[in-house]
Parts: sequence; C-alpha cells; structure tokens
Amino acid sequence: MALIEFRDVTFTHLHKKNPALNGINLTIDEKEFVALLGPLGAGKSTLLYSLNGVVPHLLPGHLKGDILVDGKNTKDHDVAELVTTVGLVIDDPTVQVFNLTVIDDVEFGPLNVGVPLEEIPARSEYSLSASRLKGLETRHPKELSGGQQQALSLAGVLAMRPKVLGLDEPISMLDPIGKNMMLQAVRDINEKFGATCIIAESGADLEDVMNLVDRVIVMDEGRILAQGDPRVAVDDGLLEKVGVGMPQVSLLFRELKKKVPDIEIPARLDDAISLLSSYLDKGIIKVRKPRATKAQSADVAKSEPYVDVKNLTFIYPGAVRALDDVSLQLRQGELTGIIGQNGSGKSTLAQCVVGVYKPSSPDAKIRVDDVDVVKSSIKEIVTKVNYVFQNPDYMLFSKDVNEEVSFGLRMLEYPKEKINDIVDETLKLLGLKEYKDTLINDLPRYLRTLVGLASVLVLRPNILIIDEPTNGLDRRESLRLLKYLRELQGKGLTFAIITHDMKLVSEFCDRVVVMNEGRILLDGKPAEVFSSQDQLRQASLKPPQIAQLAQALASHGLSAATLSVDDFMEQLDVGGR
Amino acid sequence: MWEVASGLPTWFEHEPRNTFIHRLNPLSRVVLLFSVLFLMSFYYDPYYVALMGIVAAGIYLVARVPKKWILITIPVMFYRFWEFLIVGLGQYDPSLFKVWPQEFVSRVLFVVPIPFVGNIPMIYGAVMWTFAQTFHIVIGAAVTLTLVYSTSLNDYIRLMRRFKFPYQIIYVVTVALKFVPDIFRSYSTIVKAQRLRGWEVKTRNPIKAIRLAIPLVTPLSRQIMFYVDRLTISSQIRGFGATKVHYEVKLGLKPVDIATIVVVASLVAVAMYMLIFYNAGIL
Repeated sequence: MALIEFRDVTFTHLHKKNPALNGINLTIDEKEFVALLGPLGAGKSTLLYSLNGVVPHLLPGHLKGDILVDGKNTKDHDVAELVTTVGLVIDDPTVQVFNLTVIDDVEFGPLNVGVPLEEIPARSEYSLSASRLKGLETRHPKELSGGQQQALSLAGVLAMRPKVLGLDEPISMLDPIGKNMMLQAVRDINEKFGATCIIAESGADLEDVMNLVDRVIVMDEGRILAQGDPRVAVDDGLLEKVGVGMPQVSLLFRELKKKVPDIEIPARLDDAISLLSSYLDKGIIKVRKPRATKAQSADVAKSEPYVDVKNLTFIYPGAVRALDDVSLQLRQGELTGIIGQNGSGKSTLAQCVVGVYKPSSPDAKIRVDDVDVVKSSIKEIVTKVNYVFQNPDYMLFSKDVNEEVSFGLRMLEYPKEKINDIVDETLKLLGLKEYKDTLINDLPRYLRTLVGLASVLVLRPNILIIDEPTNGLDRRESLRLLKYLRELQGKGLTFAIITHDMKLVSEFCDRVVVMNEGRILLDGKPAEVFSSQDQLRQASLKPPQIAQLAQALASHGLSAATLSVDDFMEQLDVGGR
Repeated sequence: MWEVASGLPTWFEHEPRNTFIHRLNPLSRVVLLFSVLFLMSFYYDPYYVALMGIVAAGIYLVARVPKKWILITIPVMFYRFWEFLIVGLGQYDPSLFKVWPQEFVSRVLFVVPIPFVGNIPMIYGAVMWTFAQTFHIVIGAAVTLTLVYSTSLNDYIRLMRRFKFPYQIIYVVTVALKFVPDIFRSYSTIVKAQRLRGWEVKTRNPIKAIRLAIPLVTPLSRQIMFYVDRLTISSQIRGFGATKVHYEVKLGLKPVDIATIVVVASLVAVAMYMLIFYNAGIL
C-alpha cells in the first residue's frame, strides 16, 4: 500500500492566480527515496509542505483533491497532528535550529510532542547516530560546520520518528563535503531506518542528488512532467528543457551517443565510471594524448595587483580566528572564484578588503589602488572595490528600480544629471533598462539579484566581490547571471565571486582561491586547483563531477585537469571519429 | 534566505558556559535574579541602590555576560533620566521623604520657572529619587541580561511546563528568545550592506535622520516579516503545540540549588522585614 497518495490535487496560494500544484496524481511507497526536480516555482516546495499539512493549514489557499499520508487525509489533520508522520527539513538550518546546544535541539521536538521523558534519551541517541553528530552533544550550533548544522536540523526532525522525511533543498547552502555528509546521512536513514525520503532540488546540486535516489519526479509549473528511474530524466534532456540542467556525466554521454548510438546515458557518476571504463577497456573509445588544458592557456597574472592584501589576521570578539596571516592579490581583468567550506574565512576576507572589518594584526596591509584600506573610511573605498552580500533583500528598500540604483550616488552627493547618466548606463549594462520604473516588490528573485548588483556597480568600483551570487537561483538563472558577469568582464569590469558551486567556478573563473581555516590553501588556475585532490580534500571540497570522472579514469590516460564536457571530449577518440 | 554569520558573536543570546550562574538549576537562577529585581524596586536610598548595583554587577561578572551588552542601557538611561527628572520636579514637597533628614532632602538644587505654574524647586530628595530610578534601569538590565545569557531555551520550556504556564505563553517566550538575536544579526548585515553603498548618518536634523533610517528600516522590516513566516512554519514542523504535555517535569534541584534558594529567600525576608519595620532602603 502506498504511504503517500495525491489524488488529483490542485492547490492555489491565497491571492495568487496560477496554481502551485496542478492536477497532481502521485503515489510514493514506504522506504522509497525520491527526488523532486524542477526549476524555482515548479511546485516542489508546495508539494513537500502539503505532506505535513503546512499547506493548506499554515500557508492558506484553495486545495482541491485529496492528499493521504499514512492513511490520514491532510485536510482533516493539522500540522501538529502530522509532524510525527512527516518530518520536514528546510534549506536554512539557522531558522530550523532553535536551541543553543546540539542535545537541547534534538530533544526539542520530542518534548513538544509529549514523548515520555524516559524515552527521549534513546530517541536522541538514535537521531544523533543517524545524523553523524555523536560526540557533539554539548556543542553550540554556531560551532558546527554548515553541513553539521543541517545535519542537526535533520536530527531534530528524526527524533520525532517520522515515517516520511521531506527535504527542501537541504544542501543548497552547504560546502561540497557538507553536502556529501548530509546526503549520506539521509541515505543511511532511508536504508538502515526505513524512512521514506523525498528531496527537492532545483539544479545546483543535481549530481549529488541523482547519485542517491531511486526515483525522480520532474516538475514544472505545478505539474508532474515525468517520473521514474533517474535515467528517465536525462534520456531525452528533459531536465535541461525545464532549466534544472543535466548532470555533467549525462551531458558527456549525450555527446558520446552521437558517435556510439547504442551507449546508455547514465545519471550517476558511478554508472558513468563503470560504463566508460568498459568502453575504454574494449577499445571502442580511446584516449588521445592529453591536450593542453586551460592550465597551460590563459595567462592573467602578470599585471600590477589592484588589491594587495598582506599578513591579514582577523579575530572576532570571543577569540574566533577567522583569518590567519592571509596574503592575496587581485588584478583587474580576472574573474576570480573564492571557494572553501562554510566558515573558512571567505566572507570575512572580502569584508576586510572593503573596510567593513579592520584587521586584528598590526602589521596587516590592505591596499586598493592607491588607498590604504586600514586607515581609510568605507566611503573612500566603495568606489575602488566593493562587496555585494548574498541576499539582495538586505539592500533593497526603495520603491522602484531607478530610485534603488541611484541611492549610492545620492549618498556620495553626485550631481543630479550625472546620477541619471550613470544609472541609465548601469541599467543598460545589466539589461535592466526596461525595468527602470518597475516596483522592487514586483521583481522575481533573479531580477532582484541583478538590481542588488546594479546598486553597488553604480558606484563604479574597479573590483566587485560578490558573495554567493547564485544563491536562491535555479541552474538556468545561475548560468544566465554568470554569463552576464563574463560579458561585463569583457567590458572592463572585474569580479571575484564567493561560491560553493564548483561547476560554475570551473566553467567561468580564470583563477580559483581556496580557503581553509582562515588561510589560503591553493591559488591558481581552475585546472591546477581542481587537480590538487589532496589539498581539496583537506579543504573539504571536491572538484566538479566531470573532473571526478576524469580523475577516476586517470589510469586510462585522462587528464586530472579536465574541467568541462568539451575538455573531456577533446581527449577521447571515439571509433576513429 | 537567512545569512549565517557563522562564528560571529550575537547579542542577547544564551551561551552555554561553565560559570557558577550557568551551573545553577534554572529555578535557582530565576529565584536569585528575580529577588534582585524585586528588592531593587523598593530601594531608593542611594546606599541601598548602590548595594543592589554591586550585587547585580557581581552576578553579571560571575556569569561572564559580554560586557558590551550592558551598553544598551545607556541610551535608555539617557532618555528616561529626563523623564524621571520631570516627574522628580513634581516631588518638591520635602514631607514626601520620611527617612532621610528633612534639612537635607529639602535643600533646593535649582529652580525651574514653569509658565502659568510658577517656580518649581528641584530639591535634593527628588534628585536622589531621579538617580535611583535611573540606576534601577541598569540593575534591571544587568539581571535580565544575566538570565538571558545563562538560561537555555529548553530550560525555560521545562520550567514553564513545571509550573503549568499556558502553552501560548511558552510559545511566545520561545520564539522571542530565538527571534531577537537572529534579528540583531540581520540588522548588522543590513547596516554593512548599506554602508557599502555610501550610506551614513551625518546630520543632526532629526527629520533627515529619520529619512536616513529608511534604508535600514525597510529591509529589516521585510526580513522580520519573512522571518516570522519562516519561524512560524519552522516551530510548527518541530512539533511546537503538537500536544498538551501532561507529564510532570522534575525540577532536579541539587544541594547547591537548594542552598542558593534558601540563602536568597532568607536575605529577601530579612530585607523585607527591615524595609517594612525600619524603612531600610527608602528615602
């Protein structure tokens, strides 16, 4: 018998025209591990929230059809009654974690639902083991890594012993190893403890999710477009069509299929390794001599540094050493990716460079062009180098786009005519001209991100550091944004991006800086950095999937510095073609 | 998306530490701290207010509450001092002060001419009352901040359950204790983001200053609304309010807790006796 059943379900949020769920018919069995894949706004979160009654009891709207979970119709049972059947983990652990020690937070749910006190320790033990948090019981959540914080959200939900575990983009804010840790914990819970798991994903972590699930459900505009084995979603490029993107190994095999028609298109890295390995062993596909990779090509590190950081140490009150003797140079014309696990010091470094934080070390030197950042006010720095926070909503406050973008210039007391000219120019540069008079509140997330960027770019900094620019965007929008940055770079602007998205870094950046525990561990071209496997592991990072495939097949002569499908294909000789 | 300022200390949030105050049972802690608040509310005599100040400062330091937290009281003190001063002006009759010598409390410090009313003298007794009221704010804040810093969310929940507080009150306390530090984090990020756009307050004109607050207030309000929504859903999916809890929560008092409660209760009893029968602590 199905554990979850959607019977012709349509749900429209209050005050919205289009339904978030549109004619959904779906069954999910016990112990299944299912991925809901689709772009932002596809209805994935609404579907998850409808499992435990948040829709329609807390998020009101018009619900047609029936949703049955473990035999209970969610229309007749509210969230309070369903929490012990369906546990939900949301994307941001800081909202879901309520307490100030790990053990307190794990016990919070059982206490709330009235589990007898003597039973709570056993439940905590089970949840902490399953979430791989044993030994961290007395730690403050702030002391945990991003992956551990999200695992704590998971443990808190697990302690209520739900039959169904819903995970709404649970790894979107985590570093690669954090993602891995979280997904492995979920996999264990599914396999060892028999929980039914449903995970929503909009593209950035597609490869990781596809590696784990038994079944995928592809959604768009509130409808289910396809469902089945993960290969179903990659066979005809459906995921690409809806904007979620394809796993890199699937893209590679799609190219290979053009030359070897009977080859299957895998959705998972492991399948891709064994499949390609067998073709290489049989000699159907051969490896050419390694070609010159990007490592030998682009050469940007010759010009004078525009940003020059030397011996920078920064210690937060409470003796948290965020940066430890960091030296870094940024040059105009580079697109630099700054990567590292959560808490490695990336954002702190950026905020020191723009003068938000002053160094703790007396011998630290931060020069931007001819300005000594340590001795200058933020206002003297903002037109030289600037920083955009990851959430545009921390900045946006005006009525419309024009007013918002012109704010910085008004603060710097530019003449009115000049303000209009610069704002027009900036809006044109970012393709926002047509939205000049649009109300900020009417803009979708992608455009708000661009407006946030424009409102700092308008100050004309020579270097702009952007923190997680693709956070909250789906794969299609992320690619659009990065292509934009690339174009702008061609027009003389320089960007550094802080990100966890290794695919984007490898595809778009000229240079990669890897941070670990407040220090710079690696600094070089993407091909060099992503082939330094030991150091990446030390920094809790892993290369993009295509590089992992190449590294796994290095014994066949593939270059460990392979970063894209094109790079990979260039190395293969398929039947002499 | 809620940005995590990982590693950053935040304001008004409990921190698990191994201080004497932290180690106390929440009930002993509440008894200790509320006793200070209770006694303080009766004391206006500068010596007694100073004594309570020393006790509160001692507790604050023992609990190792971040020192900068207490700075929050400065603007509040400044604002309320003027308010108390105006009320103090109304106490120009020396006979209101029963304990301190009349020749002292009746001495005039200055005179305020008030249209249609006449000259109102500010007497020493009223000045002492004004300063005592103002100093109460610091003592109250020190004690409250110590409670916040040393008491975890689950401690409050267990304690309130033990004393059968209504579920709604427990809910409000829980959400407030999570909400305040998170909003401070958010506010700090907004200030940084706007400063990087050239925002700064460099006017003494209050109208302009209010206008300059809009770039902070608007994103903060939006964040608060968004956060409240998410927090509501989060608390519900963590089972808050899922059922009425019927079991009895044991207090688990240790000897040190019992000793603390006994000592504090005895001191309060003595203080009240002295207050009622010997006017100790009043002006």
